[in-house]
Amino acid sequence: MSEPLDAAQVRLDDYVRAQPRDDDQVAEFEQDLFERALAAAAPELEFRAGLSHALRVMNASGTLEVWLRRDQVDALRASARRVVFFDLDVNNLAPPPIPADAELLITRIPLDLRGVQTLDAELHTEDGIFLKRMPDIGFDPEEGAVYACCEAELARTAMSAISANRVTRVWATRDGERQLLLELRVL
Amino acid sequence: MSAETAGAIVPNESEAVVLQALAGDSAAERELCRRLLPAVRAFAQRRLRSSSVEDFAHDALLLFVEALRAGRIQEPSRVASFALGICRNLARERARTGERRRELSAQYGLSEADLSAWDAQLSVRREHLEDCFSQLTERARRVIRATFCEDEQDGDIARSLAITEANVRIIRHRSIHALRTCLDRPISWVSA
Repeated sequence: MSEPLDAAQVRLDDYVRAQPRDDDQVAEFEQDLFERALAAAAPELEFRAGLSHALRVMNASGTLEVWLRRDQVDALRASARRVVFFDLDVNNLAPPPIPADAELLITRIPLDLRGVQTLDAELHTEDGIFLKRMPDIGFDPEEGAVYACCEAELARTAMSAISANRVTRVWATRDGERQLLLELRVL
Repeated sequence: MSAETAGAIVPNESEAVVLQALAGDSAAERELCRRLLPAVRAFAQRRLRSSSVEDFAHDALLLFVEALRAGRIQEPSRVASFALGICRNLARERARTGERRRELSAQYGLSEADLSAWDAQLSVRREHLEDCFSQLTERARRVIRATFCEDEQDGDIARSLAITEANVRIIRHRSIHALRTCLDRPISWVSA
């Protein structure tokens, strides 16, 4: 490929979203795109196709967002998908049982959300190595809980031995201050 | 799928596939269709409503196979141009009926199931994408969902988020980059 993948990805996105307006530019881009597609040398096309497919499938099945509100949880539990609902007891932590045929795990995490403006969660190793941040968790302040939904396969990975030394911290912004709401060794 | 390695193929192999397809090898024909499908779909996404994109892609590839079988494509170096020409003609003459497609499908054995199967081959692992998608901000998640899942125009996305269309474009580019980078790494739970 003659240009970095990121630049190719931007050009493809602009093309699909009808950004280039000049007919000659578009024709030239299309010629190159088809030539490279045929030569299996258009990784940006393959990535976009794969991403689009997975996003559409997950959105249709209601699992694109990890953090759900109660009405979204109710809709998933009423759907045909095999959902395991786990009410987390923060005083008696235990990993949820996930049957082999389960498709989704929804975990209810009780939290005092009164006055909370924003929520985010961080994942660390037990010895403090940062792994990821999940910003802007969706929540209803009156609900007194947040709901984490994930594919059962991801949940099994998270619960596996290799993940046993993981720590999740849920942070809130309240009155303009960042506060630690919860620290968990499962989730 | 690893975006870095996707499409890694030697030129000679590619030329060989084209020559085999021109010689009537049906497996090579299907390989050319598989490679062209994302480009044909991008062509259609630029011009058509989302509900018409899959039909367009299917029709274009059937016509491509038809042209191969009829010997209307003879120069290996012109195969991509021919495919693009089919797309352009099809976009202009979109009066094709479902019955015509079914006839061609029955005749040439290229079904909607084939397209779905090729899509599934390209698809990223859902649990990995879920892990990566959760690391985007709410605004970025909204732009990605509106773009890929809800087929909203950038103007509509911009209005709903009270930002400019240029910002929507930048957020989408950065988010796609973030997702690709994340998907190229191990899932966060097992890293470190």
